[in-house]
Amino acid sequence: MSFALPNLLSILIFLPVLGAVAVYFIPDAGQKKLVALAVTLLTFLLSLLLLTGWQEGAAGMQFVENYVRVPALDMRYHLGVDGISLFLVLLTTLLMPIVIHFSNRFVDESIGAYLALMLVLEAAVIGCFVALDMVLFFGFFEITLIPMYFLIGQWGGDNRQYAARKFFLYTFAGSAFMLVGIVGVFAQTGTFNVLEAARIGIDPSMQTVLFLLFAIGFAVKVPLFPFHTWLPDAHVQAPTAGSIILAGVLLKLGTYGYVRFALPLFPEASINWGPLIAVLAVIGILYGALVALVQKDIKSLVAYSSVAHLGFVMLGVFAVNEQGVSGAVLQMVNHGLSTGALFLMVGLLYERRHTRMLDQFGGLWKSIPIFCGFFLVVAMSSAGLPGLNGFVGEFTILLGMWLRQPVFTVLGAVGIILAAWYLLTAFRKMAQGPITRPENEAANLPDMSLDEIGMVLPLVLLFFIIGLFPNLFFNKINPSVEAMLQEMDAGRNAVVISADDYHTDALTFHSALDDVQAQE
Amino acid sequence: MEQVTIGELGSILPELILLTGGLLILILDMVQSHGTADSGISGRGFMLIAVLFLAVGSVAVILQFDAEQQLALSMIMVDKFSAFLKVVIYVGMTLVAIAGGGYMNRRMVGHGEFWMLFMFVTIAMSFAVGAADLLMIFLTIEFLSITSYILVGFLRTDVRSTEAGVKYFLYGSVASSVMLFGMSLLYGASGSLNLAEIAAAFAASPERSLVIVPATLMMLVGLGFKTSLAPFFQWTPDTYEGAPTPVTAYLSTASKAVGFAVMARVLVVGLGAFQASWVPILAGLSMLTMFAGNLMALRQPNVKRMLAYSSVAQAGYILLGLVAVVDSSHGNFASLTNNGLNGVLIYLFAYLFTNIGAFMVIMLVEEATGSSDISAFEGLSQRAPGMAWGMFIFLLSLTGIPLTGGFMGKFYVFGATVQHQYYTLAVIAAINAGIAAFYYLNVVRAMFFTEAEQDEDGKALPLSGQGFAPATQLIVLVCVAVTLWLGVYPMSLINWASDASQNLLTIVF
Repeated sequence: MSFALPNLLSILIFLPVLGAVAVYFIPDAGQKKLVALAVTLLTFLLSLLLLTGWQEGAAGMQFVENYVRVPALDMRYHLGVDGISLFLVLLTTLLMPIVIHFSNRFVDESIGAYLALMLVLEAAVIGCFVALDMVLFFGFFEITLIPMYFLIGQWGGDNRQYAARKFFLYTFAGSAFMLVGIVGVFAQTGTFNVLEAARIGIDPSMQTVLFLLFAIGFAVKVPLFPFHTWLPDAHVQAPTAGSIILAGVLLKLGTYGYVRFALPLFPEASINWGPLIAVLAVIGILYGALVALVQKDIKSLVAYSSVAHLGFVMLGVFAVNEQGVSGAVLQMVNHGLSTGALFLMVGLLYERRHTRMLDQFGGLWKSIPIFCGFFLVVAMSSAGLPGLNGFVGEFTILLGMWLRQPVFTVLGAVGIILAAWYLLTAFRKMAQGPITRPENEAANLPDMSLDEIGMVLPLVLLFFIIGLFPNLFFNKINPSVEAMLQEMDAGRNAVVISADDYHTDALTFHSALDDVQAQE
Repeated sequence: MEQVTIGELGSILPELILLTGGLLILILDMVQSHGTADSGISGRGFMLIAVLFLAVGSVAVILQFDAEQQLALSMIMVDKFSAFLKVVIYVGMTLVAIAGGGYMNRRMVGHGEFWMLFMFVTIAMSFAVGAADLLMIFLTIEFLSITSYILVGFLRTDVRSTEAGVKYFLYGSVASSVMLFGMSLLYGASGSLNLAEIAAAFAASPERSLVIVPATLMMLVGLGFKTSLAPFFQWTPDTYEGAPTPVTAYLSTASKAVGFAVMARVLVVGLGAFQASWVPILAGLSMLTMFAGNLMALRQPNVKRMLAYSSVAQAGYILLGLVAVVDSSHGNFASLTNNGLNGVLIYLFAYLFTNIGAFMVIMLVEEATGSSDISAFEGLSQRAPGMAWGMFIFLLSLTGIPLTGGFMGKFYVFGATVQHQYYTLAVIAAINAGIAAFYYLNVVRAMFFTEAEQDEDGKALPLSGQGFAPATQLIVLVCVAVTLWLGVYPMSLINWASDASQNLLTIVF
């Protein structure tokens, strides 16, 4: 074990905030960029201490910080990280230096405000992933909206104001429902601590209402069909760095919310309403893929592919078994890496050609082979090629869903085929064939520079690491997921003793009743 | 009739201090008006006197907070509940006086009259929050209304100000008379004007309680007018838009707080036993008010008018808290510690700083550009960054984003609503919060995402016709600081508000 830093999670949250203040007030633009990059890199390095200090095999919360804030209502400043949130935190801290570096290269307009907003966003997102108090979570959740609203609205494309407003309003409206749900949970359990509330349990008659309130809030964020319409607008209009963060981590707040809040708090309702959400997820997978197929703009293609990929994650979550949920957690990370990398590649291309229309390209393989090589790997990772990260996540999710409801698995698998189709089509249109336009000639189009490779390479390496050694990750994810599912089962059994209708997943974990008895 | 002793006057010390201030201004004004125009005390001098006496009055209120609860002059309750609201009123009026005083002084004739009335309005509000007697309630509300009519129409040369005053007066006088009729029903049935005695009388002879529903409805017309609840809010947009902005600022905060305080006292102390009759009425009014305010606000091209409709909607949220004083599952009063009244007070306190701050920014923009239309806010972030960020914080607070006081208010009010099982109401409130974000965001968009007018060099023109008044800027800064402080560290406010609300509610437990 290495040395442990006290209050590590708070440091991860507040270091970027301090950085934001510093960046805003430093007069020189060059120094602003340097400080922002240094702060995000330092945050990333510090976040690695989570890995070195990790207690392998432990299911519960680690690095816990718990201070009383409002004693009358037991609202707390309560942070902690477990296998479910660990890699999401690391994903955030990893993506941040990359997008900051990208922005430093390509953004000039009011760079101070831009970088400060990025850093605030990082702090809020990390806060969301580690908050264990529901009000604290809600606070961070809402605060992510403000920097993103400005990033889209100020630095976005031509239709940015519309997209920014739509993004804000959709999410805000959704989260207003969630706030009602949070208070509802408090009214039922007397605590805002999500772990404690799950342990106490909620009356099944109340679970449906509260589950739906939470589900609406998160469904907008994920986004689940039919709440997805803000996403393509936001992605297409957002600046590249904004798209990477939006797809890479912000969307995960929704799926993470389902895993952290909806499942453990409302086990009964999650089972009952799971099929409905799975249907929406499948619709999202097929619809997103089919729409992506006909996009002419690569960025909106990637945006629709996000709708499809997050459909997979939701499918895994509502399989409500170990394979499904663990796969979903890993797939959240995978999607962040793959889609983040895709947006990064698209951004690099856009900065060169100032267009994203597929028909403007063709034959790029001849002019910029390094770029095309990386693009192919990234696309394959997104399409779920075996040996790369996407495959592991999707496979585990489909396995989990097979144990629950095979028909969704079959439909989901169709989505995988479609994903390969639209990604390869896009690649063919861009990279293959003859060069038809003079702008695409090697002489006019520089290939990736060393520092650009440096931005993409860490992500690509992780594709392979996750793809080839998934157990490095599952070893940390599984215990927490397993513990959560057992608690869910115990909660359901406490209410309905004959809850054997959903023990199809007995293969992997024993009946929770046995477990409870064993503990006694 | 009981004899009033000098000792008893001590319990109305804050109001006496204000009265002294008001009379002092009146006398000074009368004395100097015989002299030449430019000698004697200026508007600024009167403003300083007003602020000074308000400050001393606030100290007296704070001393009252720990004093024994007592009934002064057999009509005015001096308790923690009224002390809390007096702080809201005094602080609000002080902020308005400092920030808006210069604006008023530049525009009006008759400085002495304005500042005298300003003090009298404060006295009226200060008495109203403690009034424990129907007659006293009517008198104070009427006093408040009449002085407010004059203040709203104070800019005689401004047609819109005059129009606003007349509209306010016409609606207000009708509402007052309906309220008076409601009171007469209560008096006729119970034989008393004192709220506690009314409650006792109805408890002794329940057959008389037939009048409760019509009487409550009629009284809610008058109080609903003061708090601009739907359907009694039609005066609000015209009056808020036409009135001098400092007057609008206190009408939308302090005066509204008074309406809610009186409503709470009448319903809890006087008609506490009949919660089954008034809870559905309040719940209905609340839903109506939220939708009316928010939907009307959506299409407003003028920011002041938009904030007027938004303040209607905010009244709807606050009313949720009064509904949630009673638990719907057992139809009885909710527990002492977790009741909606607590949320009402927190909301009113946070709303005070947020709304006064917002109106003061509008006032500055209005002075610099001559307009409060949304187009006047375009590019404000480049023309006056400080004001734009201030307005941004106020709008976040009005939207209810965490880390602002507005969030704490909404959280407690929504919280009580959910906790006492009014799920439909809570969901409707959530929908409304979403609608409201839309028009608040519109101002943010104008301020930050549109280009400001530029000079030849392509630089944004700074917005400072005569330069912003430093006093107003200071108050905006104070309001920003308090709004954020309440959002980040609400502890003390929460404790204080729950003390005050429990103080009123102990009567029904």
